[in-house]
Amino acid sequence: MIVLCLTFPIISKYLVVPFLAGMFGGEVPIIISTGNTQIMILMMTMILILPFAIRFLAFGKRTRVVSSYMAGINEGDNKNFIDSMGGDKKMYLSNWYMQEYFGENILFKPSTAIAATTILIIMSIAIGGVL
Amino acid sequence: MNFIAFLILFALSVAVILFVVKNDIFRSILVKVSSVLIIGVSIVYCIKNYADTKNFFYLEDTKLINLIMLIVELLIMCLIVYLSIRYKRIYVAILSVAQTSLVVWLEFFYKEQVEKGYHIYSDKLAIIMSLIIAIVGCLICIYAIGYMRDYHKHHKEYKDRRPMFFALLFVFLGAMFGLIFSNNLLWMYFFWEITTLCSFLLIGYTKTKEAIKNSFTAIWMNLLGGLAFAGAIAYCAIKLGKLDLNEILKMGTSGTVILIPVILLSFAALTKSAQMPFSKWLLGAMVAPTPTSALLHSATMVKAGVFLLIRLSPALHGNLAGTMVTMVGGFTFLMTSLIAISQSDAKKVLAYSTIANLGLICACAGIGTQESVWAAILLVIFHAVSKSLMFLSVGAVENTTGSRDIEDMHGLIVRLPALAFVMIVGIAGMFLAPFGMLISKWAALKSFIDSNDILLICFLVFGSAATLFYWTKWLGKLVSVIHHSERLPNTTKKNEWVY
Repeated sequence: MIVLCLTFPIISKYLVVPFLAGMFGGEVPIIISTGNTQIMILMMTMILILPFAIRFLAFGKRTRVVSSYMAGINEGDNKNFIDSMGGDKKMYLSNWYMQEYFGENILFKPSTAIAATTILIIMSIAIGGVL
Repeated sequence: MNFIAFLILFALSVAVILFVVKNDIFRSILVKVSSVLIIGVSIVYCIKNYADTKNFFYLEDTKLINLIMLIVELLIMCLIVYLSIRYKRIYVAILSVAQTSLVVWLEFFYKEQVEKGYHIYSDKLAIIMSLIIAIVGCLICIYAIGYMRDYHKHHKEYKDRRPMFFALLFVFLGAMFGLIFSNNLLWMYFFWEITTLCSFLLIGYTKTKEAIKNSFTAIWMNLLGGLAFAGAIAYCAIKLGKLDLNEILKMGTSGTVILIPVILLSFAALTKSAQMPFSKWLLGAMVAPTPTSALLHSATMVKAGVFLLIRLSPALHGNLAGTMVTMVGGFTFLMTSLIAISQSDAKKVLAYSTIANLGLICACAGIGTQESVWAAILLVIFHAVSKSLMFLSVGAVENTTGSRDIEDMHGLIVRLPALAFVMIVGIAGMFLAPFGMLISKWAALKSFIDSNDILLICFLVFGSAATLFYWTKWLGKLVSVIHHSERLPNTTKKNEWVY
């Protein structure tokens, strides 16, 4: 099924376009030209190739495996470090959620209100205008 | 014709059997066999009808069917009224009684004046939708067998009402098949109401206080849409004397003023697809078990709304109704994408992203040109597949690790490699280049530019940027390996892997 999911774009590309041609009764305009598709594929393969290519470039040269940098002295296992107070700290990564900018309680109500007024205004214009 | 009847009736009859059966093993076999059957039939139907462009079916003798529909509608109304009185939410009862009585009144007094139209209509769009519903919906049902067993092991406090749960899933599928194939507005309304009721009951499955509150939010919003739908039917029947959706749309494209029914129908579709003033119900639906949310979000329910919009799209081109749909859709896409950045609950992120994508589909359908509808249909397909995949893998991770917070998914690639891989495929499908979403977004952007709507382009551009941001965040969390890096035993059931 994962395979199906991966190949799905290809399958649907061949299925949908003829479907649409029938639906609108005319030929479907080419929406994304072949040139653009080729550029996209080229960029994709570059992105995929690059990490492996770097490995090849480094081949034969002597590389030193070093422990990663942390905000203090690395304890050697890349998971713990010694902080400025001399104690052990566990390394922890977290995402940035920007609650204060995009928080649900900040954005949700105003946008609901805006959308509701949009609908109300347009519907009243439409219904009032025709009747 | 036989295939369509089979798809609708078979799902409904399986639901009846599932409702009665209490045996676990028999239920799981029945669900698997019937799901495979439904998928098979829909694929065969697709292949057989591939060559034909359009199919209309007029049913000669529909007296009995209409009577049954009327009775079921009244029963639904009685059930809603009963539940709303029991939980002291009278406004729900009022909404339900208002629309059902409107439809019943039409059925009795205006039936004779209405021109006879086709009842069943099957075109390419209906075939695509039926494939989505059959394949995605049935796979979710199969997944649900294992998931619900685990769910009740983890949550002993909830009453085990699995027979009803599975019955509802199949009623839902049957109603969706009915909805996409019906051409008569009254029939469509009937199936529309069934999906509303099913989603209401599924959301309230656990019967906790929160679940009941959220299920009532869902039902009042959807009933409001249903009321608009009933209003549109009434207008069509009385003023236009037609209930044939295709005929009405033809009138719309040939210049006759049919703005009111179209705007009412698109209002109904906006409520069902959880656009901005009404998006609360879809977020509330997260309290339900994961298969429910997956089903509501990917294959059914919300897709019913966008399906109706895509059907309407030729009549939406360049008028006020179209403007309303595009504006609301685009705005929803932008805002919900921004809000999704701030969420760390995986299911919440998925919910917001669903609403955002639906907004985009609405906006595309609202423009109503060929290329925008192309983008809309592609978005529907890709969204259904990748979103259901995401929901199911989040559900499996939750059952295994006991948390669905994205922060706890740190280094999942080491802990649960297979599940993490599936999740990565899902995320990649949502925004990365070789997969469908990006291509459809590209097409959407192009059609927006062609429609010369600067505001809409801003919505899309900034919304897409936000989308990229929150998916990448999640992706990074999955593959980063620092702490807690021990592999967990995988407790996911075999049948949950079907996807």
